[in-house]
Amino acid sequence: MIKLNGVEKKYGRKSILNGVTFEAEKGQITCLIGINGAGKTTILQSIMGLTPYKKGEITIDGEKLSPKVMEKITYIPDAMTLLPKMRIKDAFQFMRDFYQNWNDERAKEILAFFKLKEEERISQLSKGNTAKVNLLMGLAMDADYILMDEPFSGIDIFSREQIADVFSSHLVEDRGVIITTHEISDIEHLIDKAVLLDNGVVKKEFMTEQVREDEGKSVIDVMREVYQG
Amino acid sequence: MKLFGKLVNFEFRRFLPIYIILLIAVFLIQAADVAFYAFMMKSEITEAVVKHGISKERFLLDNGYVSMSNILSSSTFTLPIVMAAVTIFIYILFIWYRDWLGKNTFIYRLLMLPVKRIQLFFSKGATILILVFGLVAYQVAILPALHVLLKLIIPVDYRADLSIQGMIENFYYLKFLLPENFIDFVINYGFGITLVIVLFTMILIERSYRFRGIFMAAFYGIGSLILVFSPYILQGIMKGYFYENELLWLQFAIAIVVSILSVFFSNHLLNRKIRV
Repeated sequence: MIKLNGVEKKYGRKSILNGVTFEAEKGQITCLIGINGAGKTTILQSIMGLTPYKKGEITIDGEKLSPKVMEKITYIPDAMTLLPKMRIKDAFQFMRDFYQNWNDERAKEILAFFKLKEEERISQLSKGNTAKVNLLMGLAMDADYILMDEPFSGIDIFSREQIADVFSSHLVEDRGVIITTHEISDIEHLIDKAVLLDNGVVKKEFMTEQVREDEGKSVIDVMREVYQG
Repeated sequence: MKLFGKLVNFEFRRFLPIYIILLIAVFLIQAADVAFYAFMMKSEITEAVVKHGISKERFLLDNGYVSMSNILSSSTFTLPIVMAAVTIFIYILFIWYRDWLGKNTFIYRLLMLPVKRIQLFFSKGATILILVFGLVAYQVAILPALHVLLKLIIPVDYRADLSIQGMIENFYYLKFLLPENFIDFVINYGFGITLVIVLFTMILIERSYRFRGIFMAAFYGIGSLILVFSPYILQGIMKGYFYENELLWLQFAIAIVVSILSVFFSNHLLNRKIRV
């Protein structure tokens, strides 16, 4: 379980996270929802130790972030994190070299699923294919948790559909996923838990199935209630 | 340790294309300088001995022997090695900033690697050291080749040949980089390593605190510099209390302390303060 307890973060004098507390379980897709600037990316970066937070605690299966814990978790940012001159096969080699939990078989499976070729150079990929390669690099690891930052941001409808298909596939099965998005419609039917954020505060946290069954509301309905009063 | 080796190899290979260009440029410029000097001397010999009938002894008395020692001190010969050294120095800064400011933010990937983050620091430092040692070794290795070029152009009677050791002694920069005794070697490279460590720490301060970090890094750099040179300040105050040798060792000891503190501080920044 990824657990955030009272996490606070400031950039200068501006508060980005104000005591964020929530949990993301293994085997569930947890979606962080909020408009730009709500603190979604900062939460993911804080979990990965890519930005320092001021107060609070973040644990992964009860442990603080360390190189050992890093193997349990994979982060897919919304920007390409591989060198432009690399070919996809070089990126595979890099991952193979450094990650014990890199799964070559799965990487090739995802590559075929996205109809990409190992010879393609990172710098020459379209925006949609860049997002797919980013996703591939994260999903091909045998990690217990996957953090995805805006995987649908700025890409065409067909790429979005392909990426959305990943969420209902065996590729994320049994893993804990935290995904951030402000475009909920693409994955609304796939998420297990929604965490609504506003100005670095968790406004509401709920199990989507439960809200659907008990109150007959969709995630978008709850968002309207929370954000528009 | 295995991952550290892979990191160093990875970092080295990222600079390899530029490094190869630098090494080729060093050889070509130095070879051109040797050839230019040799042909110029050959034409002087031809003109004096063949056209004007001056004896070999007279010519040598007036002009001296043609030797590598005359070339090694010329500015055109030393220029490419200085150029390569400056490039490596600039790369000390670039080796970090390229991961943040490049087209793709590779720093995400580096910081997420399942290694202790201080290993990134050491791997980049080791890469710089390898680049410097590589450059020095390459310069030493091409000296005999350049000497052969001189030998091919200038007749043996007009030449004073030098051994590699002789050439190194006549080449100011190499004399500094490859001193005769081991203690000088340790001291020269020790100060160099301290400089790299402090610069790396300054970069990490800036990357952690951004705008505020620029001033903090400048303060850290100036503070370190004052600390390392404090024995000389002390010497001024105490009016020559220390021997020169004592001063150097005191300075070296302080440099070691500054390096160790900088590594600990960098470790803290990489683990607790760094931002992507």
